[in-house]
Order: sequence, then C-alpha cells, then structure tokens
Amino acid sequence: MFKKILIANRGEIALRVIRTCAEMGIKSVAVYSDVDANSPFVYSAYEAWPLGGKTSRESYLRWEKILDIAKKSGAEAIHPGYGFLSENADFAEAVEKAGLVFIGPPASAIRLMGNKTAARELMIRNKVPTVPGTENAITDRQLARKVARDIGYPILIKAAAGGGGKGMRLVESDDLFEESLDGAAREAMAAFNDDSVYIEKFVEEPRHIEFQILADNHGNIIHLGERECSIQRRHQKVLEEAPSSLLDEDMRARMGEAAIQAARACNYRNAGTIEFLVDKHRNFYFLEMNTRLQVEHPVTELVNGLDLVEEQLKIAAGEAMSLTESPKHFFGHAFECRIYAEDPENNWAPSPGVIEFLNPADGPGIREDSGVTQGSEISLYYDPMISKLCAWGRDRQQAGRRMIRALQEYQISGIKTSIPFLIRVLEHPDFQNGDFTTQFIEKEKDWLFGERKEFAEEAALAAILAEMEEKKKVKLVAANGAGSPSSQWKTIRRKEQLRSQ
Amino acid sequence: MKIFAETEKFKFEYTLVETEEGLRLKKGGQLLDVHIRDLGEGRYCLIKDNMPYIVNVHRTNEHYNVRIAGSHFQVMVEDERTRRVKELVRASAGARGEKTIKAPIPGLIVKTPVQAGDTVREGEPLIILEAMKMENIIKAPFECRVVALSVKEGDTVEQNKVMMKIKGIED
Repeated sequence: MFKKILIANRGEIALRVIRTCAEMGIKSVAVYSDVDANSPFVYSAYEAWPLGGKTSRESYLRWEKILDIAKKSGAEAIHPGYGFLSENADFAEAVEKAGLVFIGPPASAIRLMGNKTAARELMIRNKVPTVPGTENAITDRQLARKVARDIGYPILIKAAAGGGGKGMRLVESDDLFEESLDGAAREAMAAFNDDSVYIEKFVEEPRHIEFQILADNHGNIIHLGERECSIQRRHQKVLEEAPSSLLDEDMRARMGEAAIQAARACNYRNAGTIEFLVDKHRNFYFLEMNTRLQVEHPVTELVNGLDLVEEQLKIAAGEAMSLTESPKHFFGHAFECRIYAEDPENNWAPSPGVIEFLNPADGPGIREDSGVTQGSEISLYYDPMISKLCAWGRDRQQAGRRMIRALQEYQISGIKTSIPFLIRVLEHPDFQNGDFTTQFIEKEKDWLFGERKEFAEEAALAAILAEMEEKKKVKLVAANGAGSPSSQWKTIRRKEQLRSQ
Repeated sequence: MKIFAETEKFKFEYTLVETEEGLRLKKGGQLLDVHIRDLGEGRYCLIKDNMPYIVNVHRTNEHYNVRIAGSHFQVMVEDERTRRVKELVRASAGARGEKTIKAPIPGLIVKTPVQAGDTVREGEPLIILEAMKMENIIKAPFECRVVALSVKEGDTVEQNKVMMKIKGIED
C-alpha cells in the first residue's frame, strides 16, 4: 500500500479522501489555491502545499505544478477526486510518465469513454443497449422514414447541426412524420444552413439510474448496485438514493450485467459509473460512463458497507478489492442531498458569502461530507456545492423521514442554500411513492416553489421582534454614550481592550 | 403604533402597545403570547403560545431573510411612520424614470454588451455577470437609454454595487 498520496482537488471530496487516508495510515498531501487557504481540507491533511491562484485555471488545473509538488513531497500516487483533472486522459498519462500512480482508470479508458460517439459504437459492438437511432446524419427522406418505423414511435428528429432545441421535433406516429421532418429541416436550414437530421428513439418518462462498478488488476469486475439520480435541475443532480424504487431483482441483475459488460469493453480499472436512461416500459439504455468517483458515491457506501475510496486505493496499489462478487442484497436504504450555496426560489442564483453560523445535522443514521465550517467564505470561483448530507434507514420510508428531519435540523446562516427546496422534494407525495422522472422538478414546480402559509406568521413575528431587539440595543448604546462623562479616549481604549481579549 | 409585516404572499398587521412588562404586540385587540431570545449570530429562539422555534434572521437592505423550521421567508417590516416616508420617496423617485442597476449577487463581469449613450429595448441584455460557473444575464426592465456604465469586463463586483444607470424612454 502507498505511504503517501497527493489529492489534486478541494472542498468536501478532498476531505473525503483525506479521511480514508488517515484511517489507513496513509499520509495525505493537500494542494490549495489562495482562496482555499482557510478551508477545512487544508488543515485536515498531513501536509498542505500552496498552488497559488484563484480561478481553477490558476490553481487546481495546473497539472505541471501539481506533479512537481507530488515529487517534492514524496507522494507515490495522485487521487484526482471528481471534476478538475479527474477525467483528463492527458493528465492521467502524465502522472504515470512521472513514475507515479493515477488513482483511477487507465488513460485509454478515460479517452475512449470521453468520446460520446466512440463510446456509443463500442457499446453497440458489445451488446450494451443504447438509445436506438441513426449513427449518421440523414438527408434522404425515404430512408429517414424507414429508420423511424424500424426504431418505433415516438421518435425525435434532431437537426445534425442543431442545438438549443432548434430543428428538433417529437413525432408520435407515422402519419405525422412527413410534416415534422419538413418542419425540422426548414428550421435547421434557416438556423444552421444544413438540413440533415438524426433520428432517435424518444425515451418516454425517463429516469436516470446509474450503476457503480469496481474493477481490479486481478480480473475481478463487480457492480455495487444502482443509484437513482432522476431528481435533477439543469441536468445536475440534487438528490440521489440507493437502491432505486423502480428496480426489481431481475432488472437489477440485467442492468448490472450490462454495466459490467460496458466496463469490460473499455478495459476498465478502479471505480467507475455507468449511467443509464430507463423509460416507462422499463427499457434501459446506456447514456455514458463516468470514469471517476462520483459525487453521490456515499449512498452506495451506506447500503453496501464499503468504503469506495479504500477500494480505489487498494486497486491502484495493485491489491485485490474486498469483494469479488456483486452483492445480491443491500443494507436498508440511503438518501443523499446536495447542499448548494444557491437560491432555488430565485432561479438557482448562486449565493456566495460568509457562513456566519453553522450547526449541521446529526443523530441516528446521518452522515455528512462537508467542505466548509463556520466562518468559511463561499467564493465565486468554484462549484457551489458545500456539503452532502446523507440519511440511512432500514427502508425507504425511514431513510426519507430521517433525511427530512436532518434537513430541518441543519442550521446555516449568512448564505442561502437548497435546504428548503430539498425538504419540499422529500415531502412530495409522488416522490414518496417513488413515482417520478427526470422532469420532476419542472413538472411539480408549483408545488416545490413559492411560499406556504405554514410558519409565515411565525416568520413575520420573528422579523418584527428581532428588529425590536436590535433597536433596544442601539438605544442602550446611545444612552450610555450620551450620559457618560468619560472622554472619547476612554471609549477607544475600552474598545481596544475588548478587541484584544 | 401599527406595525406591518409582509411576506411574498401574506400580510400581517399588529399594534405595538406599552405594558408593565415593556412593549408587547397586539393582534385584533388580543395581546400575543410571543417572546424572542437572541442567541447571537442572527439566531433567535421564538416562543409563540409555548411553542419554541429556532429562527435565523438575516437583515438585508430592504427586508429580512427568515429561515424557520426548514422554510424560508422574505419579510418586510414597516411601522406607520416608515411606511409613510417610503411612500413619499417612491412617489418622487418614480417621476424621474431613472434607475440604477445593482449587482444582485457578487460576481465577475463577463460582458458589457451596451455602452453609455446606447438605447436598449425592454428585455435586452445590459450586463452579463458570472458566479460559480453560472451566467446571469441582467436585462433591461423597460426601454431605456444607458446614462452611465461603471463596470468593465473582467471586474469583480460586490453585491449591490451600482453597475449602471439607465433612464426610461417615454413614448
């Protein structure tokens, strides 16, 4: 096993990796930007080396500098976390070239799965289901119609040069095909001067379900079950859970097998995730592979009783992983809520600022992976996610109740967060029944957003009484100042003494 | 004295009265059983009819951000006097048709598509502000002329920083 590793990341994920290192007796090396100098991950690491800079480009993306620090500090391997350099094949290659170990997949797998077209072709060759559609752009009308019939309606016509929904048509049945194709081609011609189109199966009522896989250098490839990630805003996940309420044992086995097949096809090593779309008829299609540790990995850890970072380290060090067979059963149920510094009620506007007070949730079944502390400044420079709050329970109901309780308990002030929104999601009857798709937030926005009568009057009274308290204090200070015969110098001196205490 | 509190959807009206225990709130002629304790850092314990709530109260320029039992409210508090003063200010400011565009959030100025002197139609972008990987387009609230632009591309701005002055164009 490694004696020392460098973590090329920041915030909660850097801290997450540092914790496992500490448990395994591995020395951790943190690197940090100027902005992050006071972050918890910096002082939790065994060593902390400055990268300088503010923006990602000036700091966490400077891989020559990171490699240089790795060598100087004597680290043997680099953990990239997620984001930043984690899916950069050139970086993975450079790490290996420098004689260090990249804690992740081989560069070739990152490169292959990072190319959408190549990945799709590879999946088709290896019989992993993909969304049916044309490989190449079509300009021949007869051929287009035949393809649409073969795929089966409903289908999507997409302009080859398209984007932003222009030149896109949803076609429900064959008799509507001609006019939709004309419409899409016209729009595409006008917008992009190119009327060729792709035809693709329309995935009805899609759910986003992904499988965690692990592969070591001893020929073992397993899956650790699925994560349900359908609750998304702007294609970004906000709440995840394991297992998914949609899957039964048979479907889990089939999807898990497909996930392993996908990993095998690209010669995968280490931890990875295969994302699938599942339609209302319970057909599943390969979407993409994430060649790194995912943000939402804790829910998989909670229901498997495994530490995925520990497994990553073992695999990277050439050891065998702890399990050699995919588990058939899970321990209970787990939710993860991503706490973002943003204002869901104001179109998810970022809410940077200083965390003036923080008292996170605790108690039975709660796990928090946070990157901040009281006094932390949430800057503009990086991702707005500040913490991941997880709840575990013996079943989905208990885990859900715990998740709501923990979110209500969580006290944070100074910035706005997604907490009130997350509580609404968890309280929604359809969510509680497991009946939702990736369109959930958009479809249920009237229910999820906006003020409710409950607690409105208590909030109003709190504001009035807080203002009265403030005024009382101001009056006291003013009264003391005016009535006191002491000179200004005494006041200044007294203030200085207070400050130095 | 009357005190008004308004959230986005609800309005409340109380009367402040002097009692032996100090100032108390009345609603519809009834004294309210409500107290508050300051816990510091903007945190309070509100006790209403013997039910305790932990409340976060954060003051901004115009209102209070209140978080209570996992819900969030924006509360505007006014008494009779401040309400009258505000109405007077509003009436005089409205006449000139000038408006300052302030930064709604701290951020980086990515683009300033218009310059001083330009005429802009309603809904057209005035300034593009980026924070945390997200672009925020600040649009013209009405047809207007740009009177002054006080930021440039690459600037970092604090919240509420005045970025631009515009003047409405009358038909």
